[in-house]
Amino acid sequence: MSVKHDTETAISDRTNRVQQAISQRLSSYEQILTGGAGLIRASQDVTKVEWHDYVTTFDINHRYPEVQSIGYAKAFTADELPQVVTYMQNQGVADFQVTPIAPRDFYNPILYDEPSNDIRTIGIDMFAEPNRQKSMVRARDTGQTSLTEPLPSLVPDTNQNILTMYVPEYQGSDKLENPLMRQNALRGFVFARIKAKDFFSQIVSATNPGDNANDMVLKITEVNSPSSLTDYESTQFSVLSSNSHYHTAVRTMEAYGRTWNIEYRFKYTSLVKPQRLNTPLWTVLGGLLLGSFLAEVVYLLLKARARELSSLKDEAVDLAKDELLSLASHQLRTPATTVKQYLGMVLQGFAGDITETQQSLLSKAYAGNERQLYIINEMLHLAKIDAGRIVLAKRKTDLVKLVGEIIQEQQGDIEAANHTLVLKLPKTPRSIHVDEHMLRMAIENIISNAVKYTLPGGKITVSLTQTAIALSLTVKDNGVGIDTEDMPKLYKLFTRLDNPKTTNISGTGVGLYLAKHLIDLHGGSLSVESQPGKGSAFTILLPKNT
Amino acid sequence: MTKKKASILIVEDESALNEAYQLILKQAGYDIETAFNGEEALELTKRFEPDIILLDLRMPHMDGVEFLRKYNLKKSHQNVKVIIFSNYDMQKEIDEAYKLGAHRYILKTWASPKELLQIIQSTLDDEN
Repeated sequence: MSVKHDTETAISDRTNRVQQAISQRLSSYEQILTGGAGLIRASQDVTKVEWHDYVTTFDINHRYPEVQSIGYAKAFTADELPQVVTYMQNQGVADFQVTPIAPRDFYNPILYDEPSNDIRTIGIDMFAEPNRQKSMVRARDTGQTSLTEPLPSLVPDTNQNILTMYVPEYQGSDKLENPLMRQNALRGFVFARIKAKDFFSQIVSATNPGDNANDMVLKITEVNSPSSLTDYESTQFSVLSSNSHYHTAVRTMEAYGRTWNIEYRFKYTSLVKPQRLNTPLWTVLGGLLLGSFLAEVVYLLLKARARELSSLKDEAVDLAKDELLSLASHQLRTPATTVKQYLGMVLQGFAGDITETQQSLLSKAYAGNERQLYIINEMLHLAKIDAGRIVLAKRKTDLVKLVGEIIQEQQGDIEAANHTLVLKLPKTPRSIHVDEHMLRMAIENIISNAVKYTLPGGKITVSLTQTAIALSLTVKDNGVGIDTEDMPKLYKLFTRLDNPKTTNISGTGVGLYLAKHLIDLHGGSLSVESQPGKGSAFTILLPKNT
Repeated sequence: MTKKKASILIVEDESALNEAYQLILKQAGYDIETAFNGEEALELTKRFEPDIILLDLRMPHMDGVEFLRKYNLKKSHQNVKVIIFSNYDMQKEIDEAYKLGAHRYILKTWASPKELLQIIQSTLDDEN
């Protein structure tokens, strides 16, 4: 009797320990996910970099090797799709696309998933998969963390079945008291993809009461849907099931929406031996450490964010940005300006006569320096646009005169490329209220592109016309043209189109971005019509009454 | 184009640039005085009224805008033309300088020696 009682107690102990270990480990993941949700809620818009930094702090590869990745899936309506696509493209995910692509009212694609290591989950809408949808709906409607049944991975990054844990993330701080309120407030899900086999085998080995791996074997399945995949089965489970030296125990365990049926097989001899003190202290300690570590990390991240957010409204930060930009512009330009003056003096006759060879060599140095100044200029304007610090100084400007001046300056390049220039400009002034300096840069970029991207001996036409409400400037060339599929990339920063004919043409990928922005700032528009191989025509429209 | 023997005050803290402008403008025949910051410039202008001041904005001790304020350009020196010659292109300072009576604003990086002379000449020719 006492032996049986002892056996039963021993079995209870073991099973409790296993289930506790499962609970605690899952709870650790939940804490990480909840921390992530907190970060997102506090920050309005978490970036790819910030997500990467957050997940990296947990050193998943070492501390939670059974976790494949931790990510964020944003929930939004169909009309917000273009914004989200742009947002992701701006962060460097050039080919971001929500899959499945079928149009629908709501989307919930994965935006971030870390550690990334060639992860191709970005863009996948897990809600479109019925099994995952079930858990996501439960999480969304109840506000509770939910775990899926084991499912094949979304992408071929592992052979194991994946348990996905979802933590819903809501907008605002209002108390959400029913599913409807929660549905309306849903902003997305923070999730963890957990490798089922690794997860459970790690639990089993940590809680194994005996010295032998086969002293305890398990099989874990979902109670509520017999057709779903097995969560876990020890290798020797079926073999040992018919072994008379093994005791059977069956337990049910509920966690995060799952109801597990856990079948245990314990080797009899291991049950009656005095128990090894392998209370999974590590799980307790680990949990505590994780808890405090996590709290600290999230606290620091939130604090930094809060500082950033509050000071964004602060004039002091605007001033600081200005200061930084001024300092940068000054520091970057001064040495190059000095070179310009001294080289200029020699080249322009202020230091006596120079030989042709000296002229030639020094001219190259001068040109290189000019290019540097030009690039610095572009970068600084970029920085100003980025910081929202561009203020237009609009003055009455004659557009005809301005275009004429710009063409004059480009004359050298035009002649060097042996292009024919056709000017269709009005004979009388056309006044417009613009920031001459900014507009000059925009037009310069467009004309310079036309000159650069047209093979020698080409034709460039610049025409200025007007409608009732706007002035229209068109720069047409018969150069290499632009492919339809390259059109979306045209105005993107630091992007130069891939064309074997033009790879040797120098450029920073900044010109069109700048031009477009400067024209937009004036309330105007920049558009292009093009045919590969035939040429392009860029049209700037500027409203007359600004 | 006749070169008048006009006088120019160069206010520039970067010594290499300061020297460069001296060389260029002296060669062109102008009378030159130089200062390395706003304070020095104020001292000089107590006994010397230039036709043109080539004024840098960012300088130690007293910057260009502060100098203009103290110099009282609009009221006390209406015949002096101030050309802001800076590598600094922040809107606030530019607006402030114009408000205090600056005649033109040129980014240093735009002007090679020849262009600098053209600018000086056209400023002297300006009737405004």
